[in-house]
Amino acid sequence: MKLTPKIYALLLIESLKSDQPEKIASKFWYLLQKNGQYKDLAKIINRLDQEYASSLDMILADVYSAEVLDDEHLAEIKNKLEKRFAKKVIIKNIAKKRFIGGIVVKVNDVEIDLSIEGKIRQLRQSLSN
Amino acid sequence: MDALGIDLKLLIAQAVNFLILLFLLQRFAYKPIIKMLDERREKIEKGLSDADKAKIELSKAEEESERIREKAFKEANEILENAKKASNLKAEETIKKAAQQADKIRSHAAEEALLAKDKAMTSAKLELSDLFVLGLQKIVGNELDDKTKMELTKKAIKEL
Repeated sequence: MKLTPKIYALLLIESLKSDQPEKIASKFWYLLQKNGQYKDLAKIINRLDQEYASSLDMILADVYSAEVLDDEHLAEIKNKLEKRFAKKVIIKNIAKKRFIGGIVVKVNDVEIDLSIEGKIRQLRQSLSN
Repeated sequence: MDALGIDLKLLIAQAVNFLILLFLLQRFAYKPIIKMLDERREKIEKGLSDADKAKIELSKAEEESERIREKAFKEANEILENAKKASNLKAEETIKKAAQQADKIRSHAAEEALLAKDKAMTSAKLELSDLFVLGLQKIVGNELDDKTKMELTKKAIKEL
């Protein structure tokens, strides 16, 4: 039976807390192999950050920008997000060269699009309606 | 009697003969003839009576026939009238249905036309907006330097 990336991520997190992490970790690899889900590894790792933050009662925020942001800007984003979600936030900054400018913030299922591409998309939407 | 030349004996004999003849005629001729005539008369009377009865029957039959013919004619007329009415009703119904169908087709066609128009308009808008956005992205993407891009990023962070 195939498992969701979330279940695998939770399994790995459990292994970190466990007295016998090797046993759980080997179980993780066994399940991955048995279910033929190696191709889902990237999704599982992505999910791992999120679930780990959640296990610490924190939230993970993916921040996409054209260039890697400096610490000052990241701190500013972190503060704003912590105020907005009333939780501690772990920032993961991902640089996307195709970005013209602005940022996109993804927290769990919430996406805050403040990129130029987003604005152009909105413009396109309003033009086509 | 002798003086008159009448022979009494002969007279008596002739009288007896006459009476015998009369008796015989009465017995064997008159009665059967009268009976036959009576029967004949009765037959004729019966025939006449039968003829009268037949005439009356014929008249009655003719009347009955006329009555039946009239009734049949009346019924045929009624059937014809009903058939005409039914036919008219059916024709009206058919025309009504055809009109409704035509209305439906017309309405459907109008809706289709409207949809097609809307689709064409939407498609045209989308194509135009795509072209516009493509141009805009190229212009903005090419024209902006790193400094401006960073400014835009800072502005976005402030908007957050």
